[in-house]
Amino acid sequence: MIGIYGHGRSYMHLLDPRTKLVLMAGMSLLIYSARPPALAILLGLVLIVSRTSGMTVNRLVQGVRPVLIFFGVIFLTHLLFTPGDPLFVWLPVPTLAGFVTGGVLVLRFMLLILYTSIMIYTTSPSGLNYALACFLRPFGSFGSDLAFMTGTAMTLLPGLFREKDTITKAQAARGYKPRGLKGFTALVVPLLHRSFQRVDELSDALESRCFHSKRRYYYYRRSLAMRDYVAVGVYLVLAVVILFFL
Amino acid sequence: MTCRLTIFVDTMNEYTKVKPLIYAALFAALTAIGAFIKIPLPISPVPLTLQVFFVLLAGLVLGARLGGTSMVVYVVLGIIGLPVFSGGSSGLGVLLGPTGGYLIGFVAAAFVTGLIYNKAANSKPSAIGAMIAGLFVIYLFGVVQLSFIANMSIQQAVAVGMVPFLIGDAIKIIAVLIVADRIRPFLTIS
Repeated sequence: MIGIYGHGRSYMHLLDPRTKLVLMAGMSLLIYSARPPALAILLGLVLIVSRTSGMTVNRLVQGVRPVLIFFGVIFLTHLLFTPGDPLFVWLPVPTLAGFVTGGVLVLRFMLLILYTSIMIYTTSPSGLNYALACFLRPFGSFGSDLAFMTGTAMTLLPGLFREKDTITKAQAARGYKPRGLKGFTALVVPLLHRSFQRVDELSDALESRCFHSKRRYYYYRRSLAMRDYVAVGVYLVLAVVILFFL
Repeated sequence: MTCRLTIFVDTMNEYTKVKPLIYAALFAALTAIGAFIKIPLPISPVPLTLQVFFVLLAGLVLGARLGGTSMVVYVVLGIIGLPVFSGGSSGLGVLLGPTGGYLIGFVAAAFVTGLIYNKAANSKPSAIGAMIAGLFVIYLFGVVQLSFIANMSIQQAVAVGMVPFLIGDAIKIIAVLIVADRIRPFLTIS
């Protein structure tokens, strides 16, 4: 599994993960409430910011590709089922109104994904995990528990992938074909069995070292720097301009 | 001496808490790789992906609270940037986008499945009923968010975001039944 995070030292990389999380939430509000002309500004901004944080166009496209089919279906639904003036005189269905509403919607969704991929490209998963745990602090131990579980799941993932490949090959060597229900249970049952064993060992190891959930999992603190306030300030100006003047 | 005793008692109480957390993490990780296990089916052109399979399995095996928690962890894994959502997408944008309702539905579905299954006797019909209720919850959240955010009517959203997946889901319910029976002996949680 290839992560999307790319190491770097650009302005976006140096921002605090918490700031980026808040900015991302704010940007998604803007993306949904902006009028169509303002979307052009947001699109320009995404290109500039991704450029300055060292993202290639390839990386941006990579983020959008998995959701492209579903966005296409949404666009087609609007194109074909919106009443209005027909786009071509001899056919009733593809209407101009449908083309515009569908296009604007899909552009909004694209922008959402593009901004997200900038955030993910410039922030390490553990940094974001820490930021989320910070925001969940009002919920008591749930925040730190969640951060612990997420961290554990992250460490389990590569092993599970290896296990999956090993079992697939082992079953293929025994003559199982990876098709249908039988092939599926032949893969999943051993995978679950092995992962339960692994997880039992892990929890025994943690418990025998007196690990327990009320302990603090994060022994480092980060404080907000000047650039975080600058970034939030820039966002607020942008929000006012987009919401009230465009 | 008393001090040592209290520490001992305290850690004994906490002992029970680590294993469930790790099992929740495991099911989150399994759901994540479920997006990458593709099973080609002879009867359908769309290959089966397995997130929903693990959502329902988590509800049955872990119960309502822990199953729901494991799905929260799965969603968080995606938010912090691991490519674990369907098709290898990730990030807050997916959660807030047209298909985000399904992800919220996963959390609710694991919870509901566990809730219904625990209350009834441990029998096949109750498991099937619980899973159908879970699937219904996934589509409820998914279709409502799709129609709301993508500006579609409910009928359109159902046609786009529910009907194409129903056959696959029926097969997944059968698969969960088979697998849950066979893994139960290995499970030492709680």
